[in-house]
Amino acid sequence: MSAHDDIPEAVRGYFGHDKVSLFGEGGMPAAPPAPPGSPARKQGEAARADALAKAGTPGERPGSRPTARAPRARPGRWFRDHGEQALYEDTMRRLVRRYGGVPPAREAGWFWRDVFVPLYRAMPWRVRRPAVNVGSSARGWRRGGGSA
Amino acid sequence: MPDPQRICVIGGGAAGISAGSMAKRTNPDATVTVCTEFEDVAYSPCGIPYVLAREIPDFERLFLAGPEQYAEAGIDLRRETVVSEVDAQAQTLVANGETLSWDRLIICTGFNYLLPDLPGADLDGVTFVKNIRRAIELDTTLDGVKRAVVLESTPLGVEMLAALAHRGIETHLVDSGSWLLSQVADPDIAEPVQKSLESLGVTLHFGVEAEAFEGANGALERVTTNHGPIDADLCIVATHKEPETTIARSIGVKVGSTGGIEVNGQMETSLEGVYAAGDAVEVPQGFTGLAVQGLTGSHAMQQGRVAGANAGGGSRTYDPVYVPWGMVGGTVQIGGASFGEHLAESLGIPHIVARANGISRARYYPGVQQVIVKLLAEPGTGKLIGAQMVGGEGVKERADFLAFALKRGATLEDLAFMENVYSPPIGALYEPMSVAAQNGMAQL
Repeated sequence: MSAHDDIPEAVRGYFGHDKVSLFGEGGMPAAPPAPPGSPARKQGEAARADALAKAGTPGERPGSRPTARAPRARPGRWFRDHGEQALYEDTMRRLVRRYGGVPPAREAGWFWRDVFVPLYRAMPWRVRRPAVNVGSSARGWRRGGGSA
Repeated sequence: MPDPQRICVIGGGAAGISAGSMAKRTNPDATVTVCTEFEDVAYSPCGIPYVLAREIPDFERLFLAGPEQYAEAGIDLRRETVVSEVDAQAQTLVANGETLSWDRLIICTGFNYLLPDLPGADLDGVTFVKNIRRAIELDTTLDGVKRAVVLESTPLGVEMLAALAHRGIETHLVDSGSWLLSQVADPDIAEPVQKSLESLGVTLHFGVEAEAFEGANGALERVTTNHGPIDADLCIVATHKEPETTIARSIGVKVGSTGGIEVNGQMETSLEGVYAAGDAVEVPQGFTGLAVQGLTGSHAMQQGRVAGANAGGGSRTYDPVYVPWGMVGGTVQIGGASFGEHLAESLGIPHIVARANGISRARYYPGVQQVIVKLLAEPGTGKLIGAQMVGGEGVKERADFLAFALKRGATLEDLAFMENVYSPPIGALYEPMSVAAQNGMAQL
């Protein structure tokens, strides 16, 4: 039984989560496709026809494997990737203890887990704050009103 | 300096198209050329999961314009055109074998999914959702799929979970994190979305690591994990978005700590006259200055507009970001702005947490929905650090508002005494954000 079963059908269509619900129930009718013969409609129809003709056939096509291997990171990125991941995992474990749930599958290596994370956490924020930005490309940008 | 006359854009996504359009608008006399390796431009890739879910009846509706419209606007749009070389000294590039000269270059090369370093990743059925034509092909495949795995609950992963479940496919999430959307959301905020997905029939496996894709005759049959195998005809890989910077790096453009192209507030790279925008770049987060990458389509579009205007000889500035975000997970809306508790605690940003369980309309009005708001603020000053929300409606508007409030340095006190709309069908007397702020002030 839904919490909205007692809402009149006519009202459900105009208000509430149904208006933006995932499966298109209720609400205003969505915009139709572009008019027949318009450039957008022609392009959409051409794309569909082409894709359907190629479906199930072999061959590399644009976007069929939009993937990248993990790049060999430069020191700045390598340090950030590992440090960030170790801090995320450590925090995830803390939040799981607070809110319930299962611990994350991954665990950072001993250096990151047993040396980096405790050292980082021991630093006062006034030290951590600039440390976070070492090597950041953000210098020279206009600062927002909410800057720390 | 005279206005640039030859502007080339590499990439035809949200950033590339808006950059090209804005460059032309800023400098109508310039020759603007946009090269994309793909067949289509000017469609909404964000709509793809909803067509796959059958919520939107066809892919054609996602198209906004055709190539002729760019020609009419004076833009030389070159589709299925691969830029193979760029010479920054000579200011030329080679596109499908033809050499083009440029005075200003805008790199909008987007992202690729980080390929999991797992055996069997080349099997048929290990699938990525990005390009619309490949998504149309995937749509035909889904009719024959009985069981599917989604790898990682990124925003796209969550949308695909609901889409697959709605197609009647037995759907599993495999996620090494501890809760849904753990890169952006907190566990208490994600929980209603998890429950909603489970009610759609999705099985969620958290704290589980994929170990291999296994199959026979080149086709996927199962995803093996550290908790055992899961039978699957299809695996949607929704992993980290790795910025595509091959061309940028080849000409010596600096890449930052996220792997994204470094740009300044004018979206200009470390090379004069070379601009960049979209998923290929990194920009500073407003509160900490920390570089972030892989934002949303609206960020890509606005960055493209700034890059295009400046490349065209104009003067526009892009500000550090506070990243309002929001989406529907299952049948629940979730969103936020800037930091949640997970990110703030990870970075060690001192903060207090203020919560409120509010409602979206007057309590007596039909369709009233719960809205949970969680605010993070600086101890002492009460200056906002971030926000997260989950509820039946009204999440997007609050996320946009809170991102703007963050940008303007708003405090809990500002929100606690804010003005708000009270109208029974659309807003309750007590605005949930304001109630959360009032609750938080007690902790200052």
